[in-house]
Amino acid sequence: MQVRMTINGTPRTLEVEPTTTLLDALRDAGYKGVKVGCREAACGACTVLVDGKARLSCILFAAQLEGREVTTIEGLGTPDAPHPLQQAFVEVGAVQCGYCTPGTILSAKALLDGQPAPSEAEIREALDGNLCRCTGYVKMIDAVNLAASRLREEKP
Amino acid sequence: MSQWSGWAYPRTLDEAMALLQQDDPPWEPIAGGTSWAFRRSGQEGGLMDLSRLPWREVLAEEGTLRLGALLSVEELRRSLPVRDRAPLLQETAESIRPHQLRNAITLGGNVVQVFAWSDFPVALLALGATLHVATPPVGLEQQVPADDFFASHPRRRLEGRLLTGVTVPARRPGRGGAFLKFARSRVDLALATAAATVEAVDGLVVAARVVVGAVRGLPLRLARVEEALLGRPVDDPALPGVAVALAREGVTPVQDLRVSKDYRAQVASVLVGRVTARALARAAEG
Amino acid sequence: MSGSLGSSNPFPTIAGAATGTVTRQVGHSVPRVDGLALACGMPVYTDDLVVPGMLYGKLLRSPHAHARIVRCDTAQARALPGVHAVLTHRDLPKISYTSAGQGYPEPSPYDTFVLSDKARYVGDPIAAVAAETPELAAQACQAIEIEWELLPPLFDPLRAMDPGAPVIHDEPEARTILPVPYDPRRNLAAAVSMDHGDVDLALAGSDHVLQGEFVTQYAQHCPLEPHITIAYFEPNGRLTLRSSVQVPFHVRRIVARVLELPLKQVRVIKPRIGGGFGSKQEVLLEPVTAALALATRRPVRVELSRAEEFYASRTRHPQHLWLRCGVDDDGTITALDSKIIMNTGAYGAHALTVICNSGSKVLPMYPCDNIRFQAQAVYTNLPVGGAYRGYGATQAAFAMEVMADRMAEAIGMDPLAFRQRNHIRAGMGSPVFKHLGEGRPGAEQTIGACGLPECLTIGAQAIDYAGRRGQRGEGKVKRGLGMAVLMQGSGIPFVDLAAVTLKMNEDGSVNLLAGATDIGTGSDTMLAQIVAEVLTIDTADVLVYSSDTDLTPFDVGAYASSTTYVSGGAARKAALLVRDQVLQVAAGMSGVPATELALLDRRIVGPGVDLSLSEVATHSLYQGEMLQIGATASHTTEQSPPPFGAHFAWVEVDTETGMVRVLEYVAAVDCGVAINPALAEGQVEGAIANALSYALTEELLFDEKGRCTNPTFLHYKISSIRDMPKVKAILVPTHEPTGPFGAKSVSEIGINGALPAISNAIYDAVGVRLTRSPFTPERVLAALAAKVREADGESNPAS
Repeated sequence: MQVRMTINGTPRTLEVEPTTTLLDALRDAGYKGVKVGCREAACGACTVLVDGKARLSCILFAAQLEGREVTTIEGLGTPDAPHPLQQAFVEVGAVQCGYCTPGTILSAKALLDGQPAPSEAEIREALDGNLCRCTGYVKMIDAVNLAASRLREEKP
Repeated sequence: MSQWSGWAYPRTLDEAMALLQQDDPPWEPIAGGTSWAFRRSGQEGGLMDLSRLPWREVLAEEGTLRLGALLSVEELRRSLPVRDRAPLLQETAESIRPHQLRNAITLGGNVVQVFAWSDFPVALLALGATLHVATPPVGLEQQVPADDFFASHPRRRLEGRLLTGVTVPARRPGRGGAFLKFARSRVDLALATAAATVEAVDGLVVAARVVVGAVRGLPLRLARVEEALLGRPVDDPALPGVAVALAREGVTPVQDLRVSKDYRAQVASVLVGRVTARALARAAEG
Repeated sequence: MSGSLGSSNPFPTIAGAATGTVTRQVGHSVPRVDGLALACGMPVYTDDLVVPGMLYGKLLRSPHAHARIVRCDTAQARALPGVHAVLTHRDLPKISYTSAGQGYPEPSPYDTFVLSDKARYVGDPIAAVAAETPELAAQACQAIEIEWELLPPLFDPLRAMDPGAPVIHDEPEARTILPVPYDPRRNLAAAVSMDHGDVDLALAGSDHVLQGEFVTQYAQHCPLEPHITIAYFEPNGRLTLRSSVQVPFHVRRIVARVLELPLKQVRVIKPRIGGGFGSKQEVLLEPVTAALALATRRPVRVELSRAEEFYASRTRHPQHLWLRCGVDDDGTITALDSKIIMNTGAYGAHALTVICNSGSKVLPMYPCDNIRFQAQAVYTNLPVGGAYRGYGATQAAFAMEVMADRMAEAIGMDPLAFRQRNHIRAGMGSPVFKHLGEGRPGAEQTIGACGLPECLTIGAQAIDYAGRRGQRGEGKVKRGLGMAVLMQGSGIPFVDLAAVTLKMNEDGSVNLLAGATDIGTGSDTMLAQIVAEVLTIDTADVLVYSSDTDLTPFDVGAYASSTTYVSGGAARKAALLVRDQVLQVAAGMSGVPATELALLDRRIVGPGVDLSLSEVATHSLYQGEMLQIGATASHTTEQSPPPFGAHFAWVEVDTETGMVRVLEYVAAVDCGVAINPALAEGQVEGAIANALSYALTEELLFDEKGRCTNPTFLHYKISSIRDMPKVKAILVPTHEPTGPFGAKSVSEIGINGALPAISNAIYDAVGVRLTRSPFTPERVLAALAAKVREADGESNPAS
């Protein structure tokens, strides 16, 4: 079956099976920044934004996305022109193996879109579904704070 | 994998009712879809995506609050009317983690596709909610009290019908409620949950609903705990202890890989005591 | 900028602080060289490469804990359209090996087959399938018919060596290739012991003798990226394995041997890795993926599901530890008597070396004249142990550091003061270093730098030890504070080898080719910083490529806390060689002898000479000497200087539910000079997060048939950001004279503190000793109930 969705601002039509997960559909379509960590809605590596809200693509069927907007990490920035969150995560050392990073940054983006000056508690709430086995999360909080302050400066 | 033939996207009650009456293929409703992580195979027919239906209302009415079945848990958590008129539901929403699942899980899905650890059934039973069910052929709305709705597995009970929303009594002076969850970590499925509502008049308990969850397949009202509260001063410091003792006798958990039955019974009764204490204190606040 | 969870470092780490030199790259928190690619989701991991025509491989795993294949019929599976290969033990050479990715000759027993005719745990791979789709591969696995002869399973490690116990490795091929203790007929996978002084005499003469028994659980590494290997052929027919692995060179050697291929026919590429923690120091999927590719002559991909990752990859070995200590009233530790039975599961991967480390990385902490250590690793029909960050020290430090608290209590001394009195110091050695190596006698060594005194003072201050210790508070929820001191090593003396190749380009940038495997640790960045420091360039001017058995020089891989110390040493040596060449070329250009030239801030300067690095590099390639400036340097080690740490945990215990919450955790660590302080802190912080859930929630559970019942993140709970307390990682700088720029290791040590520190904190809060991990609410509540019963028993002796 065909599913029409907007991916990172571009309208796309994906050919999928009725049971294809959004995770597999996106990876097959070349969005490799969406990671496979558990396929059971328990690690957050496959996090994407659906209509601006953080969702787990492993428990979404691609067909549920009909007519909706998806943002993957590829939609935020590139190494040449990174999003402030991507820049901040690298700068403060919040990236180690990097496997959870795309999903975590997308969760952080959803947070900052609604709350430009989050408290530490809000950051913890917003990142609680993105497991990381490397960093201990300490520097992720620093990174979100740093990116938030830079984004606030950009948009006074 | 399953043999699904396709997807349908009903936008109105009529379209949904029409689909529900087809049986070749049969259409299976799906809302947030999170429970499909646990049942991926053996399905036939098509899936009807309910997410485009309009059941997302938050309506503060006289003494009640009506909530659409398709509200996400996160929408409930952030809703100001919910915070003001049904704080117990906000506590329940808050306890559902992680945030990606709060965005995905709907109120309706959580109370229809009930797992042992599901949270809103416990909350709605404690609140004495009314559930609104649309019935084919034209979607006539039935009102089902929570006590009936959760008396057996709702998904089977609902067969061929759709939950459209729930109504809960709004908070008012003399009424207090609370919800508590116990889990192994801060982002986890419940090992035990408890919810309670208490109503006091002139400082005496006149109504109480105390519910324990996650210890068996469906939430359980603790009648003996409720009876023990009735007629007692709302600020009686002995009441939470009484609740713990009676809950310990009344709760018989099923076997679980995570903890022993005994431990679960113990922690569930401690939770009942704590949630009762909170509900009493809030009722006493007026 | 740090949040309250945030780290803080009151002591800016300046490399060379102890030597007085100023550094521009080393000692600075330079951003990771690969950071932006990772943060932007670039396709850099194994599975991000799509190979045309790729087949999907899947392993059929044993449903039985102990069973022999009587008959195996693969005809139906082979006949399925789209199935290209079905392999069983009959299709492969019967060559035993160890999956432990260790240097040759490996100290682990050769007791493993790529596909076995006997299942030794639930999950043992017995057949492999390659098909057009993952669904087809799964279907083909189901179509394989197997008739089993069920054998009695063995699950209790304490009964493994009983006469009459089931023999798990009865195959004649099971053997060791080094002269180390091994007796598969008794299920003994490995053993090690040492006996120094006269322990019995010392204990008899001690003012106090204390004995403790400790049990640790099965735990899994949980890298976010599961194991995955893709095999494909190069145009000339060579086999390439792109794999998520910590040890590419060991993979090449072992795959070539078990599949009887010439080594030169195999190439192993390690792309970016999504975490390892030791689980990928294992040659796990590569041999079978290669076999499927050879059988089909097609590219093949095999990945583990999350469930397989839990029960069928590798785990932290569970240990049963007994520790007896003698202590005199003045605080002198008179004797340490330690015994360990370790469960290595169905195979002996890392068995010997892990028990060696349980002694060698823990016992030297408290210099003592009388030390006895006896450790055995036994087979059971349960999942396989392997390398896991901490590597045996994690389990043993639990026993040692709880006993340290008990010794202090016995003589009425504060636990902090007890450790301050007794811990090892710079200039000291230990008989343990000499007795216990890694599968061989160890290397004598004297501690060069030891920042433990400072770690203890600073850490105690940071957690408010004086104000919080012993302050339980009122109410149902009590608070307590506990601590532990730790040490690890830096590489394996006389075993680890690392090599680094550098070549300079026209613009003065340098390609750094390293066999060292960055698995997320940031080692690529660390190596680049070292090279940049020597060559006075920016870290960003060092272009790192790691690791690829065709293109990079040899390195044993990422394990044993070796990369900074050993590979970093190689990088420094290679950079010094390149610097000398630069000066030589500049000498040729200028006529001024190289001895009068210096490399300063990207320029070569001397009497009347001022050349840029770029001018020299360009000249070298196109004029004059016609020389590629470049060098390869190898480095090994005769020492393994320990990093040290002092950990403190402040906890609360709910006495009604047994729930333990850590409120604050402080880790002060001496890793020498931190080449990159932010990355070093990250290592400590990450290790703590892992250690906290290891101490509180992580545990693989099994049913009566040996099946893992919780192989999922839903029921195997690792720390989320919400579970994290306020964590402070404090780097306490020292200068290790044998390390590159004064560095020691930092990656493993941080995981060893939470078990003992939290156990000791629980005791401070509620007076019960938790000696079986993890400290679940149920166990804590049971311990509290036992204490109440004991107290009742004491007050009513008649009852």
